[in-house]
Amino acid sequence: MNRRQFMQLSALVLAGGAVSGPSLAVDQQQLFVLGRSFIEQPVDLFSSAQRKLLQAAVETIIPRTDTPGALDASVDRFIELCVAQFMTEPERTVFIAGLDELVNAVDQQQSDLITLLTELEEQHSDAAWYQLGNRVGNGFDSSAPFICQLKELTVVGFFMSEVGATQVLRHNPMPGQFDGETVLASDQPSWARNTPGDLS
Amino acid sequence: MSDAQFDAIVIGSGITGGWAAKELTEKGLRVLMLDRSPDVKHGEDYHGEHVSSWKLPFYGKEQRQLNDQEYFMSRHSGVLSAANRHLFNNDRDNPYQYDTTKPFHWIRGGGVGGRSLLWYRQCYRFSPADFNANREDGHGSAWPISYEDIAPWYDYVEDFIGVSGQAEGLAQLPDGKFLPPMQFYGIEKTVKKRIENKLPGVNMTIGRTAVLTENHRGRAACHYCGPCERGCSSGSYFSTQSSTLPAARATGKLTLRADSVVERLEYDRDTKRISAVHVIDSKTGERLMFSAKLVFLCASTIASTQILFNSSSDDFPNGMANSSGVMGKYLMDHTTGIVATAVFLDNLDNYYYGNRPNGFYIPRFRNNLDQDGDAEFIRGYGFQGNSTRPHWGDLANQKGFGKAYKDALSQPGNYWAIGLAGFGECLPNANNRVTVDKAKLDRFGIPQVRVAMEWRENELKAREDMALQAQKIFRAAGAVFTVTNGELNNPGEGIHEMGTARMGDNPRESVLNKWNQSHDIANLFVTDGSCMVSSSCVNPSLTYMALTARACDYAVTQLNKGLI
Repeated sequence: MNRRQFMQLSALVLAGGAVSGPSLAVDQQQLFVLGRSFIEQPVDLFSSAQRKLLQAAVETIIPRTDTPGALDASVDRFIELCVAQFMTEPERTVFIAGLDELVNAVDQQQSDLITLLTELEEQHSDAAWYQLGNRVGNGFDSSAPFICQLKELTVVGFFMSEVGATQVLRHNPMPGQFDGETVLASDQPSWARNTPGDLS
Repeated sequence: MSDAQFDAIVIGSGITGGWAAKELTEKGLRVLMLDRSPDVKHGEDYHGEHVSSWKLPFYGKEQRQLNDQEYFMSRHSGVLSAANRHLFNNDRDNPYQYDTTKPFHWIRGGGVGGRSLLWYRQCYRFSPADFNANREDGHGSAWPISYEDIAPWYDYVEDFIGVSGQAEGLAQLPDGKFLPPMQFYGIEKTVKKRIENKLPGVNMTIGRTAVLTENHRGRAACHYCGPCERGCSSGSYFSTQSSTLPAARATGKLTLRADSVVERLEYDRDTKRISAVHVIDSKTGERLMFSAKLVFLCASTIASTQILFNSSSDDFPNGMANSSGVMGKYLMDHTTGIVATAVFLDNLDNYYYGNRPNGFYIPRFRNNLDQDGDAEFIRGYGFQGNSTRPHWGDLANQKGFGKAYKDALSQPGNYWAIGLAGFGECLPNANNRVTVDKAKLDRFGIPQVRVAMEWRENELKAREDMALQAQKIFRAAGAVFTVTNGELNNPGEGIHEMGTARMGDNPRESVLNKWNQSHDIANLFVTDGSCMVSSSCVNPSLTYMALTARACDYAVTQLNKGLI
């Protein structure tokens, strides 16, 4: 199905034209059409030095290539909101301490950021977060070291964002049908998800 | 509202309450439907439906602190999110009691429509053997009905709600009136062929689900958006709002009163009938009283039992309609939890289009005709399965940064994963029970329920067998890697609680007769899960619906004959 077909289908479903069921209530359409993105809200937790480092770190983890990267998706803002509002106090302490260590290390010009991040990963390679079968979903691993917290929130903040979901992954909120045996082309991105860990 | 306004009062608006309201109004009765929760209007109150991932708080990651404080039971449903929190019970505001060393997790809806908006929509008929099981092996008491008694009502219900599925001709899983089945994933076709070749007696079918695969009775076919649990404006899955409520409203004979907590029922010694339903308006605190010729109690197993216990009187000192003394006992649920996940390297050039709100089903294959020689348990279990092509969330927990990491996460993983969740039958046991605790009152001053339930030896033995058999199935299916995982659910987390006001022919051993009518009180019918005599291993909602429709038919017939 191409974009044109999809738009036609969505228009039909939304209008109740193609189907005999009732159309979506007007209020509800407004609710989800007009609702703001989660990251469009004020947050003021980090210092400018912390923000600057975080921006560099997320872009290192998911860089802009021929598709948008983490900064294009404002992943840094997502993370600041999560650290401020989503994390528990102990998790927040771990994150901010880890961020400050990185700020200091870069200030002292010990190494470049990718080397520092790689070293952190090596240091914590026995963290449960890396264990086979683990996945990034709706939950959060409270025992995760800073580097794993950072990667998890970067990944979620990117692939669930509007930029990540629509410009890097494939996004189709109204498929209209199910086919369990489509042909997978070698460079085809995954479908975007409804929630990080949804079963359906 | 004046008391004389209604012929029947239906307490509860979930799957069975909705059915009772539909049937009774369609038979000409003026019905008052009460629900303790706020109203949820079809469509306009599905606030989270089709909301983009980037509009959800924390992009959909669980709001742990809020859930810890207020939704600590609802979270065990697995489908609670910011997109549908308003459809769930607030567990802080509506407490109940249990022994924390033997947890029972009671998962409730929090809006009109109850769990009909939130269920997983699987629809399986109990088999003839299920209705004979208690009689044959002596656990619990005998069902007062057989499969033949309920079969026409299964037909009737399936025809109305729309159940998609594949007829298989299996004795242990009777076929119904199905809409076209949903499709398998390619990997599932591969696996099905191997399993059925190598393991005689093990079958795999697409889930039978109350999700429409074609337009049906004014409701639209599924558009495969995915998260049904947020509500569905196109009415593509069965809920009270999409199906039974519009039917009841179309008669012009339904009055729905939300925010109405039923405190107790009142019994009139002279007429030997329920004479009043006492209600507290949860918004204003106002106390109200309603009367009608018939009362249908459909508040869900535990809540209905609570109402009956809280309606004790001189005539019924141990709980209304409990002359038998069995009320509250024989609480059942299903054992479940993922038991195994396997990795497959077949069908790698397949992907998928659309989100299938359904899985596959491996019907009971143990102890089917006779007791299996190697089975250390009686009765059986089925497996519900689903398939996943790994996405970024499954692939993120690895080392690496930069373009390679981004590219690896952007594309589907190079394998398929299939999970199997066993659903095991639970034997009726008098020690698994619901009582009320008069010392623990809720915010309305109503005594809370206390639930005591634990899995017993037979459930645990069957669970061990599930893990072994899942391995065997995955080997036959050609898995390259299998892991047994998941924890046995706490009782309650199957969300199939049932059995506390069981049916039976003997009034000394049961609360309800074969028509779901109280042995003690002719105008009281209880048609939710509390009526169940045994649990089978299949999802019970379809059976609750069929029993409700059947009970309504009987009740109105009796009413018209002047016998109620």
